[in-house]
Amino acid sequence: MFRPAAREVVKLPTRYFSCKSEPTRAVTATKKASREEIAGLIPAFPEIYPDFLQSPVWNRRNALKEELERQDMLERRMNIDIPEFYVGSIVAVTSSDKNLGSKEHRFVGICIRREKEGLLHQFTLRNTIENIGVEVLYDLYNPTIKKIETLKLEKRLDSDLSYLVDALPEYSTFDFHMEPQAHPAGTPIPVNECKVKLKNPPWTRRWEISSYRGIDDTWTQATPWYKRKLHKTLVNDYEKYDLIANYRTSSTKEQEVFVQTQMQKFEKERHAAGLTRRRILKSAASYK
Amino acid sequence: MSAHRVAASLPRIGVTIGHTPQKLKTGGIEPSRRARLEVLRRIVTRTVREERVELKWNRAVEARPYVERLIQLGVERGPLDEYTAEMMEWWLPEKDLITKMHEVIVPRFQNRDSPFTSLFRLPPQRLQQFIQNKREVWKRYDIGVLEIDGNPFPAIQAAHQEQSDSILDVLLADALRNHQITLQEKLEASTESK
Repeated sequence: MFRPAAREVVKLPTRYFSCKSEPTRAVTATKKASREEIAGLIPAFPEIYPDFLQSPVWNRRNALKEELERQDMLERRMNIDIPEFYVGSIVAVTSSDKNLGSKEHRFVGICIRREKEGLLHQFTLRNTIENIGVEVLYDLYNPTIKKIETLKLEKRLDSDLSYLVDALPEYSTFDFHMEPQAHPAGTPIPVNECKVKLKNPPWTRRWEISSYRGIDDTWTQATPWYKRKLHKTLVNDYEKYDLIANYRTSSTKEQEVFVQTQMQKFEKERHAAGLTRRRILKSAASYK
Repeated sequence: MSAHRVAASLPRIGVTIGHTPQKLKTGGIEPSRRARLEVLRRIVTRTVREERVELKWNRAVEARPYVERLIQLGVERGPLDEYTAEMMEWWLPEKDLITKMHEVIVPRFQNRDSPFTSLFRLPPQRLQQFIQNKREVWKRYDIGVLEIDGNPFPAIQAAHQEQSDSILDVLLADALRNHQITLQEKLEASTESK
């Protein structure tokens, strides 16, 4: 049988084995250098800019809509300084109100929720005024907002503090004349590990079912009737292991890098035009 | 909104993922989301242990992103990360597989992007289910092979042959080889004479 030996000479091995037993390939197992940090991108981007993320519902993700909204959001951010704040930070919002004598209204409170993506992004502030809990929901890109200040930059154990509505009022009482506390640049954001004591049930929601970490021992203070009722509840704690259900609702690194480079480009253009020195993409924790 | 979300986001998974989780038959276990996860867990464990598994096509499609995500967690976060450790512990209940994951499988993909797995379709199988009153009942199964890349088994798909079988190409390749050999001989001769 005619079989030219040239094949063995020219042909390269197309298959390789990369088990641990093959040291040449195992040696190359070095950690990739994080290109993102070199390019000035922010690792905590989804937490600081939840408004720039995609919708958690897949079929509502629309590249064109997101692009158009992003342009409007960046324009708005050039006109008003929107500081970095998290759920758990204490924030003051000054908004204009034509019906007031002073024409503007300032509200101080703890940020308990940040929800929705794009131009519709909302955040809720909570405070106790004259022993009545008050929650004010602001649209972040509402043009009647004049000023947003972060009085105290910190996080809590949860990214949703809705349970403060059923907590004792001292946990959501903040002074309106509070002095802003400066956060030293380049240091990580402090996490306030305060555990909240809830009032006796009934509550507005079954807080003990969700895995909130900031609630202190809900079980002992429940009345026997509620203990019997709560005891029967089926808890779906396995849902967190569904890796792909998690993937379906979360954003991807590629998208975040894309949005951040777009923001950097927008900033650069505006700075080059000499119109403003305002910076949009910034983070207190990764400041150099 | 979730009570607390995963720390930093991961890159996208390079395989097809449907917009909604598919129902899987859970022979014996009462069908639920928990049962579905249990079926997937068995498949993932088996895939990591055997590196190449033959499954029903729909199960292979459904389990593939989970294997991808586990490998991705190992590659991006490493064994010391809290979330990764928790997920590995749940998805791979056999402890030696966690060690295998971090020491054998993850190092293969350190400098590579996803997909880390391959999925091949085998010809459908027709199997006899039962015979009822001389009537034979057959059922067709779509079969897929799910494998982790870089496994030590022979390839499923033949490597693409770059050489053609045309006589001209064969002669050219031989001539090239002869030329190479003569050059090598000349070089050796010159080094010996010096």
